Order: sequence, then C-alpha cells, then structure tokens
Amino acid sequence: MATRDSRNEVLQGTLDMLVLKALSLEPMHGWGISERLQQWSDDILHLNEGSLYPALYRLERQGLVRSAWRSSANNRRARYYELTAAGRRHLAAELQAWARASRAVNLILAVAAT
Amino acid sequence: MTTFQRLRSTLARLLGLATRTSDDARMREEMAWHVDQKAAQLTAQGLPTHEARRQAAVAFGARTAHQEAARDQLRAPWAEHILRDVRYAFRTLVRTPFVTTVAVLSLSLGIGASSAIFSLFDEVLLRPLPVPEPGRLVNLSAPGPKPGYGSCGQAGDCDVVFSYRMFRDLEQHQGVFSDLAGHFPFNASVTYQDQPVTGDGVLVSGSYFPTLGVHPALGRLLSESDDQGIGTNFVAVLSYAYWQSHLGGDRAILGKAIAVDGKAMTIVGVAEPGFEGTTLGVQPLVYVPITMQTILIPNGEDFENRRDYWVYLFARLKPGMTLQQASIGLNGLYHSIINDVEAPLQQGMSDATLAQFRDKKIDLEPGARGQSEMHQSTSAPFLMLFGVTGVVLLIACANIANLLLARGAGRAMEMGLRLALGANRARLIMQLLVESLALACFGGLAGLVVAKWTLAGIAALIPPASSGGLAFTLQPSVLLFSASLTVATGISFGLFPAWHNTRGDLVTAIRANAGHISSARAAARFRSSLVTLQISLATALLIAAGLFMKSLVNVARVDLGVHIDSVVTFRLSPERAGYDDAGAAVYYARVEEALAGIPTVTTLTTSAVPLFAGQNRSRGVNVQGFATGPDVDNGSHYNLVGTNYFSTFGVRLVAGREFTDADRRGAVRVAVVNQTFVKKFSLTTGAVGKYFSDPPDTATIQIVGVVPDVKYSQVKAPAPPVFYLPWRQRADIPSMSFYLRTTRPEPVLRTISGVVGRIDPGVPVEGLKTMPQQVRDNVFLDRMISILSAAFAVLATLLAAVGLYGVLAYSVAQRTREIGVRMALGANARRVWVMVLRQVGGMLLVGGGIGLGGAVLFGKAAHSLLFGLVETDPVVFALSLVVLTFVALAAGYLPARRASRVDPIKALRYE
Repeated sequence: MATRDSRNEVLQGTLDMLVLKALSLEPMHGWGISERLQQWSDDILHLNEGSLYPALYRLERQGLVRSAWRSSANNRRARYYELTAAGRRHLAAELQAWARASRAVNLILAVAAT
Repeated sequence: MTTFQRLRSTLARLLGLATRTSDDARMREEMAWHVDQKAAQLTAQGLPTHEARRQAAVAFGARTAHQEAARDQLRAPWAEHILRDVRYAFRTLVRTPFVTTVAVLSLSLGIGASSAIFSLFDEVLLRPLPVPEPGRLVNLSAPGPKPGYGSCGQAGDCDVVFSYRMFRDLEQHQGVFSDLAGHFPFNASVTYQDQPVTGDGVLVSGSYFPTLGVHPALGRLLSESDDQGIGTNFVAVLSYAYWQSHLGGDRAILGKAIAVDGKAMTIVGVAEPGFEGTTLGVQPLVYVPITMQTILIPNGEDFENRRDYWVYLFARLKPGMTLQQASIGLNGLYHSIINDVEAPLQQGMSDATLAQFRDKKIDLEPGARGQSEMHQSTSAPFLMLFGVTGVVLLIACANIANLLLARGAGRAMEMGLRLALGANRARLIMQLLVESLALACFGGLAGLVVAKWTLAGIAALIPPASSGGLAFTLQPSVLLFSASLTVATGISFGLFPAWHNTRGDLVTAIRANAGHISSARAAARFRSSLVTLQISLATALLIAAGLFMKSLVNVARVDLGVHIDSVVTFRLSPERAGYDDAGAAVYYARVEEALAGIPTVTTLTTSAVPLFAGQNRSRGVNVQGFATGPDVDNGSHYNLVGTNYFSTFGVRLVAGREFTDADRRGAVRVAVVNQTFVKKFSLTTGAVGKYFSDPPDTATIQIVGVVPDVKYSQVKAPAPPVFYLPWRQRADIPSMSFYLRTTRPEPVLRTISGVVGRIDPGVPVEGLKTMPQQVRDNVFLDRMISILSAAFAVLATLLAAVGLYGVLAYSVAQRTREIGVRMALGANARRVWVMVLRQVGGMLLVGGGIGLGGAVLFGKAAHSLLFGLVETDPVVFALSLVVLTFVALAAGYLPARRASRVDPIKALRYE
C-alpha cells in the first residue's frame, strides 16, 4: 500500500483469533464484534469493518462459530454469532500458541536489546 | 484444520452453491444493518445524518469487495465456475442441435460398441472368482508326455490334468500351498422329487471349498472328511442358483435325498450365492465328492492308475509366498515323484520320450479367474473385436474433433472478443473442455443403450450351450469402463479444438478482418489429417471384415462329407436316469422303434459320439500288418454307430458294406474305417477283410467297409482317422445321439419330446436341433467374429464418410471467394469439380495406403482366426479399396457440386 495509516492493520491471521476471543464472552452480532475489538485495542488496531464478515463466514464454514437471526435491542433482526465447542477448543489452542510465540519473540528482543 | 474440518468446510461450500440467493440476501442484510448501526452511533455523537452515513460507509470499506470475499468464503469459487461452464455448455449444445446430434450419435455408437465388447472381455478374461483373496490362487499344469489314458475338456486342455494318485501325493507332501484342490466337471442329470434337470456338475476334492474360502448359504460344504473312501461318499452340495430356481430356496432340504445321474445322494448344504464353480462355461447344479467319480461316470477314470490323467488342480499360495518360490518348492517334490515312482511304470517308451518324461515340470499360473478352456479359445477373438471397437471409437472421436473445430471457427469472433477483453485463456479452454465433456457424457449415456443392444445381438449369435453362463448384462465394472471411456474421449477430442480455438492470434485476426476470420492453416491441416486417419482406419477395418466374411463363407462351404439337410438330432442319456448298460441298450432299441413311427421320418440312425459337437474319442489300435513300437503313433478316433448310419447321412461306401441288423452281439465283430485310417495304417492294398484290435480289448475286429472322410468333431478340422463299430456289438454306451432324416423337420422337432417321453419320462431330451443348426453352433465363433466385424466396419466407414463430407463441405464454404475468383478468371465447372475431388483423392491415397499397411499387420495377428484363405487375400483387399473409393467419392459429391455452382458475382460481392 502506498500510504500507511498511523494505526496498525490487524496482523494477518490474528483477526480470526480476536473474533473468537470476542465471541468467547457472549454471543454477539458483527457490529458488536467490531465495536468490542475497537474498544479492546484502544483504537490502536485499525479494523476495516467490512473485512470482519468474510472472516465470520470462514469461521462458520469451519464449524468454529454458528449463527442465527435474533431480534436486536432496537427491534430489527440481526445475525448473532456464537462459539461452538470446536471453536472454544480452537481458541484455547490458538491462545496458547500465541502466548508461546510472543514470549519467544519478546525473549529474542530482550536479548537483542542487551 | 483437521481432515474432518476440511471435509466439512468443502461440503458446506458446495452446499453453498445451492443456497446462493439466500446467502446473498443474508450478506446484504447483515452488512446494511452494520452500516446503519454505525451511522446511528455517529448521529448520536452529533454528526448530521448524511455525513454520519458517509463516514459509516467509509469505515466499513468497499462493500462489494467484502461481499465478493464473503461469497468466496461461503462457497467454492472453482465449483461455481464449473457450474457456470456446465450451464453454458448445455446452452451451446442445444443451440447447435445438428452438430450435437451427429456428435452424440457417433460417440454413442463408438462407446456402446466398445462397452459391449468390454463387457464380454471382462466377464471372460478379467473378472476374478468371487472368493476372498483370489490373487493367491494358482493353477497347476504339467505339459509333457502323458502316455496312457486321459480325459480333459471344459476346464482346460490335456496338459492341465493330473492323475488322482499324483494329486494325493502332491497334496500330502507339498509345503508351499495352504491348500491344494482337485476337481473334474461332468455333465449331470439331477433329479429332486421326480423333477430331472440336466446341466453341469463338478466332482470336487474335500479341499475344494476350503481352498477357495467359499462359505455355505445353508448347511455345510464338502470337507476333507467327505473324500476318504473311493465310491463311498454319497453326499452333495447344491449350487445356490439351482437351489433357488428349482427347489424354491427351501431350507428343509438338508438331509433329503437327491439323485445325481440316477444315484441317490444326501444334500448336506448349499454353496454361497454368486459362486458358480471355478470354470467359466460350466454352471454347476451340484458339487459331489471327487471319490464318487467311479460311481457317477460309467467306464470312468482310474483312481490308482498313475497313467490315467483326469484331475484338474488349483491351489492357494501360503501368505507371502510368490509364484516363483512355490514353483521351486513344488517342482522338487514333483521331480522326485516322477523319477522315483512314475518313470519305472512307463512301458514301451523310447529313451528320448522317457528323458522328456523325467524332465517334466509343473507350471504354476495365476488362478484368480479359475480354470477354463474358454480363456484360451476366446481371448484372441475378443481381443480382436475389442481392438476393432476401439478403432470405431477413434474414428468417432476424430469426427467430433472435426465438428468442434469447424464450430470453433464459427465462434472465433466470440473467443477473440473475450480474449481481447482480458479473459483468462486457461478459463476459456476449461470452458470448451467442459463443453466437449458434456457432449461426451450424452454420448456415453446413449452408448449404454447401444451397448445393451449390441450385447443382446451378440447373445443371439452364441448358442446357449456355448455361452455357458455369460450374463450379457452391463456389470458395474462395465459402467466404470464406459464412464472412463466417456471422460477420456471427451478430453481427447476436445483438447486440440479447445487449444486451437482460443489461440492468441484471434485478437489480431479480429482487427485485421473486421468481422471475418478465415480458418487458420494449422486447423485445416489438422482436420485433413484427422480425416486421413479416419480413412486409413476404415480401410483397415473394411479389409479385416472382408477377410472374416470370406473366412466365414469358406467355413460354410466346407465339405462335411455328409448330407445333413433336413436331419434332426438330439441326445439321450439313460444311464444318468439310473439305467445300467444292458438296460440302456434295450432302451435305445425301443426309442429307435418309436422314432421310426413318426410320420415323414424316412430313415434314422444313432451314434455314441455326437457329430460336429466338439467331442472326441480315440484310442490306440493294433492293425494287421502295421508295425508298432515305442513312439509310434497308433491312435485313431472312433465312433459307435447304428444301422443305416452311412446311408442316412448319404455317405457312399468306397468299398465293402455298411452295418446291418445282423451285426449284433455274438456275431463276428466288424468295423468300417475311413480313408484317412486306411492311409495311416498302410491298408491301401485293400482294407476290407483285414483285421485290427483295440486294446485293452483283445477281440479281433474285421474291417467290412471303407468310407470317404467325414468331418468328425469340428467343422474346421480335417477328418482324423476314424473306425466305426456297430454299437449293438458293444455293451457300454451311457448316452446316444439320434439322427432322423425327414421331409419336414419343423413338426418332427415338436413331436420328439412326446414320443421319447412316452417310453420313459425320466430321461430328458437334450440338444434337440437340426443338423444345420448343429453345424452353425459348431462354428459360432467364426459367425460371431464375421458378423460383428462386418457391422463395425460398416459403421466405421459411415463415420469416416461423415467426417470426409464435413471437412470437404467446410473447406468449400471457406473457399467460396477463392472459387469465385477462379471462375471469374475463366475456370469452368469441370475444373472446380476436379479441384475438390483432388482433395478427396489425396486423402484417399494417403489414408488408403496407411490402411493397407495396417490391414497387412492386422491380418498377420488375426491369422489363427482365418479359415481357408491367406491373410493378404487380393480379392478382399481390392474389393475393400473399391468400396472405400466409392464411399469417399460419394461423400465428396455434394460439396463438389456446391463448389461447381458457385456464382462468381455473388461470391465476390459476399466480401
């Protein structure tokens, strides 16, 4: 990309994990997920909101989340997503892998800094 | 992702195709709602409505791109492409009904014919026995000298049989097989509750079922405990098919009695469904312990004599044992038995033969398909027919490739435009291939119908007695074959046209020609060579068919040595219904008497060995004045015949007299011999009055007559030396053929069962037919090959003609302008004719030449199938070329005429 926003793009591949993490708290709709992610990241992460949907469909196709129409707060119907059991397991594995990887990176950086 | 997840995800994507509209709606609604929410939030923060909406949309990003990405997540893009291509392909095929019809028709004929022949090929030569691990079964044979007696037939030739003692020796001492089994097929008459059925039976060793691993459907099968005492095991296992068709699947039959050839046996079980013995062409009704051979078959084989060869052997290799290892292990044993036990038993053998005998080896061959004489006799014709149908299919494919190329030229504009607009060439080729595959699928489906018809036609050509359980139906393996053929043809005839019709220079071509694209040179060359190939293949097939037709004519013209028109024949086997030798002789006499009473029957006679039925009986004879010694062949065929045998068949004696009623038991033993017998045993100075004997019988027999050679068991084989004895002087004739000369065969055929049944309803009439029918049945393979190859050759020639016509018509249409210019410059119609026909001539010359070469090679390969002509028969070659030239000129006529009538003014203005 020619120009770069000061905010970071979501790291490739981590979006799925973040979505799953968001859904691990409670079932919510796409809009809710994007709000939640924005909040968590203190607006540092820049999420192109529309790109959330292909990710959601992918997760659904993989059987990690399931979705259904429900009526939302303002009485319009919205598509709600929730984790499946497989999704929950997948998230746990992903978080572990992430923790391992980031610790390794941090260690290397710490060594490199001294 | 786990495999399961991946599978599930692919499935969900494919399902997504079906629910596309609902997915799109969901996506749009979801995304719209999202943007609305965002806009509402921004409005609440104080932005004006339209600005809030704008910012919400910006934050969301390019909505169509997201939708596209989301859509790809919901379903597989490649699957969608293919679906679109398939739909498009169907539309195109429907839009050009003529091309589609011609293509589907020719393809269906090609695929149908191939599938039908493959079906037979598969059934006869490929399909393994329906038993566990058929790959571990092996067949045993021991070629080499076998002095003594023998009996061999449907399960293989005489190299394959062993003596019973050798079987038991091998069984006891071998260490390479987990089991070794012996068997012997026989003609059986099975009677359950007074319902006689004639068919096949198999005498089996106790190890037969264990070796195969067949299970009982009811009761138990035979085991080692059932073949211990010779002639004492009165038990039988029924085949599932017989149990179902004749006993109604009655489960209460266990322990009941069934008569096999008139001997009561106890039913102990039923074999599993689908198992029909190990010999193709033999459909057993019953399986009986091999030790009962002596009871069931009168004058049967000897169990103790090591010089009596009759048991067929097959075995199951021990797990992990290879054929080579087993062969080495087994031959060590065989060698010592042959040398230590059997060689000392041989008498009157020359040293050379004895050395050969000592050197005999057991050959092991893969036995997954069982043992059958049919494997050998049919493999050459079936392979040949299979090749022929392959050629027909090739010609059909060439036709379709031509059609597609021609249509591709018509669609060059479309393709050029799409390429110019940035279409992916691979995608276009893919789309065209999908089109040709769709075409192939239609052809394949229609081909199944054609295959069914072809099979029905072939079934009608094979006499029931010889078709031996061939199903003539399309089995799953055949459907698989047709499907693969369909895909293969679809790709093979579609690939070049697809590649060619999407070539890059179409874009420039459009620019240059502005609306008119001439066919590229490469395509024209390709089309011409396709047609040349078709012509060469058709030439080869026509010649092949011509050779087979001529061969069949030769077969039909064979001088049998007898007059058989309006002779009716059938066979009776009273000893299978419980008669003894003496009773049978009385019975035959009564039948003769009753038959003589049928109106329109002028004369009748009998023979123990049926004429032209493939059955042989021979033995060694000692002829007066003929010196015998080691290795001197003193064998002669023989037959036991009734009174008037020669006069009924219109055979004139060369010398002496024929048998009369006076030649009966107690009278002087007499014989009539044929001329080959006279020659073989050097009786040329006058055979009548000379004596001979047929050991072990010591009685001398006087020759009282000499007859010309008459064909014996096979129409196509030369007559062997034969001596005829009056059956009334013999005691042992378990079954007899009857021949009735009549002025009206049809009504006689209908009355015989009744007449014979009145004497004893327990003896069924077998093989009732006219003698000409018997002769046709004897050469059915020749008839089948000739008729099928002729049909396929005609088909191939027609297809090639269609291809030739198509190419010429297309080339004339393309050259309209050129022809117009030529005519404007003064060329007359004749020269235009010559121009088009020269094109035909060129292809004919090259194609015909290649075809001739192919036919010569083919003739060499098919040499054994031809009768009475050389494989380069000049008449057949010339005639085939004339036919082909005529057909080619006919195909060229219409296009040439059209070209000669081109109006120069119109042709030029056409620009």
